[in-house]
Amino acid sequence: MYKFKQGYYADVRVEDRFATNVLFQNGALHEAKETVEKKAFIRVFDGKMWYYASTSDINSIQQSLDDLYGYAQKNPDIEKHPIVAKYQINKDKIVKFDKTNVRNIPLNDKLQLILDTSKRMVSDFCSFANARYIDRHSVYSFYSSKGADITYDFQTCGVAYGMIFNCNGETLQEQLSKCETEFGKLGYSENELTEFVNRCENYIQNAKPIVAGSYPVILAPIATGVFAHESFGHKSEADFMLGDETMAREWTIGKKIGSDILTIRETGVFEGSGYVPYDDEGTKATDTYLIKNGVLSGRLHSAATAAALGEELTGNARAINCDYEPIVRMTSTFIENGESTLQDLLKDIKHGYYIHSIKHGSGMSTFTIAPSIAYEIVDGKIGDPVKIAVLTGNVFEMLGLIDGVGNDRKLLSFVTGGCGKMEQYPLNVGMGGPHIRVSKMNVQ
Amino acid sequence: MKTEKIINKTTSKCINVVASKVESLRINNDLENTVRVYDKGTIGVDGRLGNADFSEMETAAKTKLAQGIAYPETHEEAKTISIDTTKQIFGEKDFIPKMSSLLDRLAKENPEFLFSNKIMLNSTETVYENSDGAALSYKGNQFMLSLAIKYKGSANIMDEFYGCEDDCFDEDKICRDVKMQCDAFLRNLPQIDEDEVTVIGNFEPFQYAIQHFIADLYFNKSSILDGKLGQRVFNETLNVVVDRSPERQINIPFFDAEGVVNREYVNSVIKNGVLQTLVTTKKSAIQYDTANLGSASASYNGVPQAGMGGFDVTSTAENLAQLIKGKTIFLSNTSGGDMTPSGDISMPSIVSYLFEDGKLLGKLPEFTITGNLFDILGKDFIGVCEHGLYEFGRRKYFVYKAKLVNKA
Repeated sequence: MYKFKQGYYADVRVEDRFATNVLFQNGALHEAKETVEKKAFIRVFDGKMWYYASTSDINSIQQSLDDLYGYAQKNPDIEKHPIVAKYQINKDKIVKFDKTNVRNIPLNDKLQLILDTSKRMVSDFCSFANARYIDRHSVYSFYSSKGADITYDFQTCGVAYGMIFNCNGETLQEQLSKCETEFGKLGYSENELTEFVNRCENYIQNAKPIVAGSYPVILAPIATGVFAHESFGHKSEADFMLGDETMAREWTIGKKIGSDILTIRETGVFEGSGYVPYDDEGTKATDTYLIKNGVLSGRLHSAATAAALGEELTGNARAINCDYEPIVRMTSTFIENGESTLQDLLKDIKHGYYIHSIKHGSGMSTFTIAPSIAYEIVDGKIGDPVKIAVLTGNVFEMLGLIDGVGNDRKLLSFVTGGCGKMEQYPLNVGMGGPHIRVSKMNVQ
Repeated sequence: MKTEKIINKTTSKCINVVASKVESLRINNDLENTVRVYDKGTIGVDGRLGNADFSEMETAAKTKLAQGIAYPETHEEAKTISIDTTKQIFGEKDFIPKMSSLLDRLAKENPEFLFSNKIMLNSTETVYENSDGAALSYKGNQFMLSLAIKYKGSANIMDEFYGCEDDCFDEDKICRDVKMQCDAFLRNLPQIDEDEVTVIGNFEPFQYAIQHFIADLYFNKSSILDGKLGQRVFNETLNVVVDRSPERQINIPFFDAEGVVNREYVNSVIKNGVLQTLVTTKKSAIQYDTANLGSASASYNGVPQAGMGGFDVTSTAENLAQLIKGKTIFLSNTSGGDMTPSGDISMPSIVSYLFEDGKLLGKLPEFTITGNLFDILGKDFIGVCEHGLYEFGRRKYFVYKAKLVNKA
């Protein structure tokens, strides 16, 4: 397909991306666009340095490749380089979304879906509403000088109904959203819509301030997913260990780092926003246990980090699009089920908080979650809604403070937002888990 | 019918830094083309990447008028302005050698730390033309340094960050800045006793509230600022502007995505503490009969929307010494904060330093900064300045009083 030169490693990644973005604000159409972009990212490695180029001119890929060869130096032993030796030579074609391709759904059907649904979401407290439809179908192709030849497709479609509720000058911005791989699954029942509106109305009328302090906290599956992703997922990305031998010793596989009931898993095999059957270096997806029963069990790799640390590839070299090079990123990250019901988790809490939905989270040495809707827990029961700005905790302490894991795991996909790492945002990822209980977190 | 044509050409040379060494060079050349047509109160947009046929795009944009997206057709004085702020930052072949030299020096002078992430040379060429005769063109470039700093042996993904941008390069100044920061990181200090302190930070508290300034939200009673337009809401020394001045901004066109050029390139959002103008597009300004801020943004194939490009807080002092007496806290790295519906802000500080007389005395244990939006930008606001700590890059320091909680 492409003419690769001897004495260099090179690969070409092409993404043919179709995307729809529709936005209604207060019932009026603000945006309705279909975008088709075909871009390529080209890499050349001479054993000392990488050279990258991106292009939206698909006819010039060979020219871009040849230009990059001009920067690099020929290396007759390039095939023996530890990074190059790691690369898999997969030949595969996986087309999953031929029959359900969102490219074939008329734009008007997409507009009608969210217009009809948003008309059913009525509240006297709602001062502003928007309704979004977002879909994406991508066909990825990957070719390498070692002989890899991979094609697969990816699809998500989703709706997001954002409403701002106003009561006595205070506002609550909350979103009801759904991400699927088939357009036909995007509807909501009357009960689901009513429950959402009623919950928000109750919150904006009755949410009370809290007394800041350290409390037991129960996280709903969405917050559990963010916790898994932010608190430990990012720390499992092996690129932060490069050049720091101390770190590699500190993070020895087999080290006890969390409570016995904590298991965190990472894989790109599940359909949804974290579906990555082959990463952007052509590595086939694996199923990686990051923590198993509280013990450090694995980490996430690109070929460069796997070669540097002497570990196996995991299929986690990813880029947000063909403007960027692949770096170590997550796919779908989730906490595995435990044995408790939500009632079991609640019953021992005298005074704590239940986090129902969130705005965002982050994870450096301190892990943070900014709740959207949260409730007080009093004597083992969920009580009044409360206003919490941020929950914080030390990541390493928190892994050991998880003292209850539910049996109601949810795997969640998203069409809005995504994962950010340095310049690359947003990356489509999945996350989730069951309800979990943390014995103490700082609640602000 | 009115037609707009926009061409945006960006180029970037980006070095990836791994373990304090140059790992790769990435070259991005992007060309985005936009045609918007306005007719009978609606808008049609067509956008294409690469070389494009504009008459074909205009035809495509006209067909999209049928979507019925409401957007007023406006006609203003047709301005013709061309500004080129491009500076020679490096010679064509100097970028990699100079950055290798910088990284070698940073690694040698700070042996306890590893440096990673990106160093970029970016340039922008933007052209806006419309059927009324407006012809605006801008060229600019910038040097961007974005270094994640990791203390060797730390279990964190990164421990510190040094980021700056300018239209020049000065290795000595950058090295002095990073050395000052790394040295301070190594001097661990005990937690401070005070619960209320003066802090030096960035504009993060303002950023939590920024959506509340958007006209669509404000005029639909969905903003915490509801009813406050024209009123003194904040400290009388606080001035927030949209500033697209080619002299003060780097690599930002002097016009917004709708071709709006503000008088002297500046428009006020908050003037002497008074909420003066909301964040608008031409559409929302007309819809709500309010002034247009001139900060619209747009994707190459999208309808213009409210944007924040060029947002800035006007300096109230020359340097930190004029704003602060005695010891204060410099917030170097905050993460994950937010604001409640009542305006209560909570902002975890990951890395902060004790600051006195223009120097970072040492690193403090972690804590969380709290305060109400209207206090931080009101009675607790002390001032803003550009100088007093780092030597390289264009920065501003935002000084205010806040409470400390969750002390480690």
